[in-house]
Amino acid sequence: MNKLDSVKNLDACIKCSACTSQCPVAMVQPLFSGPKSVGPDAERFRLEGIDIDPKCLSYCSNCKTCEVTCPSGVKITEIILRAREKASLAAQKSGTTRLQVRDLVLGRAEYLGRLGTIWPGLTNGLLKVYLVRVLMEKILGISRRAPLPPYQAKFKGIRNNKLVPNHRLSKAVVFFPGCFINYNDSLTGQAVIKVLEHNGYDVIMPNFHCCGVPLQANGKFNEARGNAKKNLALMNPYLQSGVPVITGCTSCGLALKEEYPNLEVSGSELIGRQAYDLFEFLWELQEGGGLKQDFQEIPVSLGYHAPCHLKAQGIGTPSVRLLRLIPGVRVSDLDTGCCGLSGSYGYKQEKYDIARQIGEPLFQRVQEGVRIGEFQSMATECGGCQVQIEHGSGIATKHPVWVFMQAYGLSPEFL
Amino acid sequence: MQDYQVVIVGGGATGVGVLRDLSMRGISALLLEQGDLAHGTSSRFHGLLHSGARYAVKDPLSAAECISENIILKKIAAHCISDTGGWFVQSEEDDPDYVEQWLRGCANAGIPLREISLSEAYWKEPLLKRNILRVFEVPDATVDGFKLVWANAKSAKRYGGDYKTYHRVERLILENKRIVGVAAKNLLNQEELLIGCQVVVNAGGAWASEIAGSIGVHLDVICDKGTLLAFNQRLFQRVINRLHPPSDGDIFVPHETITILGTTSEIVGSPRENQPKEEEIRRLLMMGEELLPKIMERRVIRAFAGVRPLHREDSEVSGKMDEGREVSRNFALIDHEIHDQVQGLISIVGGKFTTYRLMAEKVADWVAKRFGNLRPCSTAQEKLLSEISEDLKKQALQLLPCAAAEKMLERLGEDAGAVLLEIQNDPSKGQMLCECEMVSVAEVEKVALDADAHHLADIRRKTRLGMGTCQGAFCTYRALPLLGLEHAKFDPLQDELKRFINQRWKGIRPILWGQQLRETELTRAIYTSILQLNGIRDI
Amino acid sequence: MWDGIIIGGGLAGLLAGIRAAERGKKVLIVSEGVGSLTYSSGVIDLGDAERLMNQKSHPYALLGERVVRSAAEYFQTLFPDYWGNWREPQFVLTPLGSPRKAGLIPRGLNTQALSETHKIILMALEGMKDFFPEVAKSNLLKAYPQAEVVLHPFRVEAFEAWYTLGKPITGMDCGKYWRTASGIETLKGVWKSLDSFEPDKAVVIFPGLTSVFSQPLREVQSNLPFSVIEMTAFPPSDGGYYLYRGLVQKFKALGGELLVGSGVKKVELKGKQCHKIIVNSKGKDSEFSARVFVLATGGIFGGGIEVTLEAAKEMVFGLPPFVPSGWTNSEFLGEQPYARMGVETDNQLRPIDSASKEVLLENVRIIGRMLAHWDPWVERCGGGVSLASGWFAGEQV
Repeated sequence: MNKLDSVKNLDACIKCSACTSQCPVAMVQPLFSGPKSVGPDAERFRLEGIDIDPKCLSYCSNCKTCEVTCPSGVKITEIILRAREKASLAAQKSGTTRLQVRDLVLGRAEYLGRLGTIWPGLTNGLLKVYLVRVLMEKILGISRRAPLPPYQAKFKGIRNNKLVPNHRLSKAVVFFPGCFINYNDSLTGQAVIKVLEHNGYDVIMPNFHCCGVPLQANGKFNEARGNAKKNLALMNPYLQSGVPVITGCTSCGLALKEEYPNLEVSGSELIGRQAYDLFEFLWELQEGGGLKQDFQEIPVSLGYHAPCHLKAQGIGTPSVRLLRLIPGVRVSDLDTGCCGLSGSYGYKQEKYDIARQIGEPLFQRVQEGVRIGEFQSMATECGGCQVQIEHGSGIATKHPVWVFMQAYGLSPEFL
Repeated sequence: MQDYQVVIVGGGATGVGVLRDLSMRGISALLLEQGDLAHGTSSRFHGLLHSGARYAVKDPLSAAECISENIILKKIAAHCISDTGGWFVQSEEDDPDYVEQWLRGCANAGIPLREISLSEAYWKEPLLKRNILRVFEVPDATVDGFKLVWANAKSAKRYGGDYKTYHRVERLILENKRIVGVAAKNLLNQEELLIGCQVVVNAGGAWASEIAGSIGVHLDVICDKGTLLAFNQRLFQRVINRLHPPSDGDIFVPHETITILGTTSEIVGSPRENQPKEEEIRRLLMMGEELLPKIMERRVIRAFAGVRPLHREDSEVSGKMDEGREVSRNFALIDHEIHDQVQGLISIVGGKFTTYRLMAEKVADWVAKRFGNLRPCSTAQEKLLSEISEDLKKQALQLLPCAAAEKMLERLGEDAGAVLLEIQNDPSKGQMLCECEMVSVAEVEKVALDADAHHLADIRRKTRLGMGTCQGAFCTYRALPLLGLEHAKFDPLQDELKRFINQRWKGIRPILWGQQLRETELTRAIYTSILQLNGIRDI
Repeated sequence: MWDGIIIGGGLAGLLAGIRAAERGKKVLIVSEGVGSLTYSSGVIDLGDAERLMNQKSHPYALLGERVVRSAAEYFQTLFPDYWGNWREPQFVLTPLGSPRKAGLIPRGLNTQALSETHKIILMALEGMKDFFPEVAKSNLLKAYPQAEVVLHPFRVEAFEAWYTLGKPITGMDCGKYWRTASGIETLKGVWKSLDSFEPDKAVVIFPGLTSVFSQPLREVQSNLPFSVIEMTAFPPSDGGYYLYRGLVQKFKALGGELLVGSGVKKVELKGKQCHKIIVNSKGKDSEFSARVFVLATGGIFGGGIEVTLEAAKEMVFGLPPFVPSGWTNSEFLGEQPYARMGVETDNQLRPIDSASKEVLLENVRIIGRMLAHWDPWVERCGGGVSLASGWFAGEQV
């Protein structure tokens, strides 16, 4: 946001407190005074040179519920993130070492993921060992109770980096899998590719880096921008040919649409327009009559949780629309707030309980839904939400693309 | 009834300045003010502490006075002043010849200046219009009129000076053409009182001619209305002036969390004509656009107008009388013994906020001489407020958010200790009653209990309650229970509430568009629908 | 292709969506934020319907008695928790503790018992934001002079950290807390602690408690030997919020889709028909087509009408709003002419040209605060106009 826009953005706040009243963190964390207070209220003083304690800012989980809620369109999370960036620059000299190491590790989902996937079996074993988790908590500040996802062999796509001839680029897409698919859930990555290929698309998958969201959330703003630039460079040739970039992760998707266009490098002017959530893309096919309709009946009833970062994209819930096209599928959109995890937020020792409390109404709703037979299992696009919902409610939770793969009669290739 | 040597009429900057000066010299004095201190012109201006550069061409004497007072006030009233510095910006439309004259004027007046490169200028002030040619930095600063006036009053009190607010002087009492006292009325309970004195200092500002008129003395004061706009946020970090002959809408003054754009100039018939008009606001915005592009899209939270008292007789400048700016802002001391054969009455008219202390010194010199008092003026040396201790600062930062802590210390000085104690005993008192300007419940409570607080507006002036973005939408409601604390003092809740809301409305009405209109709809929803205060039943 | 797209997700828009979805239509609601319901107290103000129905150009007059009545009744069939009827006003307590008129109210707010009791116990959760027990007590004494008012302050362990830090407990925090399992247990303890006050002879007022749409809370209360009266709250209020949630859930359960957080940027018209809206999503725009469009963008406050120093503009279709000749009056809480600004329509709620009365867009309906010639604050009919016009539009999709 440039200076002119940020002035206008702050002016739009009418001090109604709707944001704070919907903030999942402020409700359960007495140390957090809420998005209005540390966002637009404090911003008027920051402009005068009076900064607030960076600790107050760090309680924001970056879920963006405030932005979605705000009736005046104020970019509250963005105000808070920028203030954090400023504060983190100022505090770099005085921060405590332990938390710095932790932010380094959680911020680098990719780094952690790479370590894990070299010997997935070993790492997963280690992560389950209580002693190891206690040590991680003591040394790194990563909560021993938090649901760290197991690591799988790194997702390599089906035919990694295959070359698509120029004349076929009009029926090609770039797939941006994101760290969760890459390191923790490669089968879902395969499902995405299968579904896209079934609809006649060649799927291109350059060797992308982490999108940058976890880095940003952990105060590593420069590294986040560095990753974004590397990724944009990998996408750029395809962007220039008009090839869409498809994400299976809603947080990566939001970053591509919201953060990448602000970078001053080639391709940034295109990425916002060419980035698609998987289901947003499929829905556009459907609207244009291009979506394959050869669905087999799947008698399944699902509870659906819309991830916060999908809501923030402002595209509605295209997966629900599409799931309802499949014969036999019933979907209840639960609409019960945030799961609490917010990427790496819920892994932090001092925030684990907050995350758990935030998600509680959702977990209860899920359990209740299953108990009364409203649905059998859960679907949500975000990997973090999947892990947290399973952890909190004990109900199996998967990416909705699995239902599509099944309905198309496809199955993943086990590598 | 207690008698005093001197009665000062008018509780603006000049009046309290005189009270402080006389009190420090050991002369007993009482100040009478018809409203609250600083409720008039001393708070209805742009809050600019002049370096004098604005007058460098037209009024060299004023310029010289300003720079010397500027230096003094930054020393004695640091807590009321934000030393932002100021820029004079020459745009493509501005006459280069004037710039040369101005540079010479500044040099003659002893105003230090430094030319700023355009790249530095745009980097430091990204919102500034991109067609400027030259930028000069001068020691302009911003000053808080409320704080400065109250600091003077409190300092005077420590030296035995007295003041009474909401006391209107009905007439001056003469015996053989000699002042022997004043008759005043307590506007809160309508009681009349007579006060004996030998000297009356008429520091009534725009009201000065009415005061003199009570004994048939003619005093020519021109009422020059100036309308100003308050923007929702700090748009510039320093005072921005246009480098051209002073005109309408050519100064932006960043003031704490807001920015003020001033001013217009129009001769009006009476000090009561202080309602901003739509055409003035349009003119201000049009002129302001020359420095701040897209000004129409910036949120204005309020318009207000002050009436500057200008004195005609001392004007050395020829010009049309209907154009206020052509009359000098220099001040005049009028000994009515010489002019009107009335002994013991002196009027002080004209001048500017920046030179209030100098004006007060001249008045006090005159009064002291009359009483044979030989003590020299010391107002330029002694600080208005004692330094705030580091311990108190630390404590404030522990108990309150940084912004709230800093602001409270600036407003209350050492008195902040009592507020912090309250919060320590009851943490809920540390909540923000006014969230826009970050004023705590404990601070508002303390001010409400002050003997000088009679209306919500008095609390507002001392705390900035209701002066931020929401303009009272939320904090008016939150101030309600405080008014119940002292039943005898405040008017019944519904009267007080309606008065306050209508006062806030007066400043919002003329700028009712954009986001402030939305804010107004929210405010109406709260007070008419949710609280139903326009209804049949009293609250 | 949707059957209907509703732009604006406040009371009017959601009711239109529910009605249309119930009639089997595929409906999308696009809303910039959560609408204004969280600022409302959750009660539905219908105003002096008979008088307003005879007031020239008023939306009630435009729609007629049948629509106003049907809409109110429809709302009550959707939400049986709401009491009252469209002709007889109910009384509820304001956050200041004084009674005020309302149209349809959640059961828990009914104040009838207060007029008959000789003892009122006013519960006061310590640290609650924007609730002033002493002020409320003095207003209750004024309104119910026959009764003694006992203030009963109490603390809740769950908020201990709030007390220590001095963080305000917002009405919304309270409302949410009482609905949790531990909140309900605590509540039972609170009721027990009243035993020594002989509560069976008293009426208990409980600010911060909102039982509407909560079966467990209502059960707890129905077993008590005394009546409990809830209060409306200062915004943002949980009463308004739970009404919003109730409407959203109803709408979603009927298969409707709600897109919150993005505004409509542009529309595509063909002659006098709108066929597509373009939504300002992140990164790029999203397009949605429909047969019928409903404009429920909330007037000036909702951002549906933007006013600059120069002009007033309807933000989605660029319709010319009716602009009253006067603008403001000096008495803030009185009549303010600007508030009657809005889009003029025919009796099918289609936008018309003020002068020629010609319909400007055939498949667009204007509802709620977007309509001209009314003022929810002085006429106190905000809920009524939203329900009536929303219901009517829902019938038209």
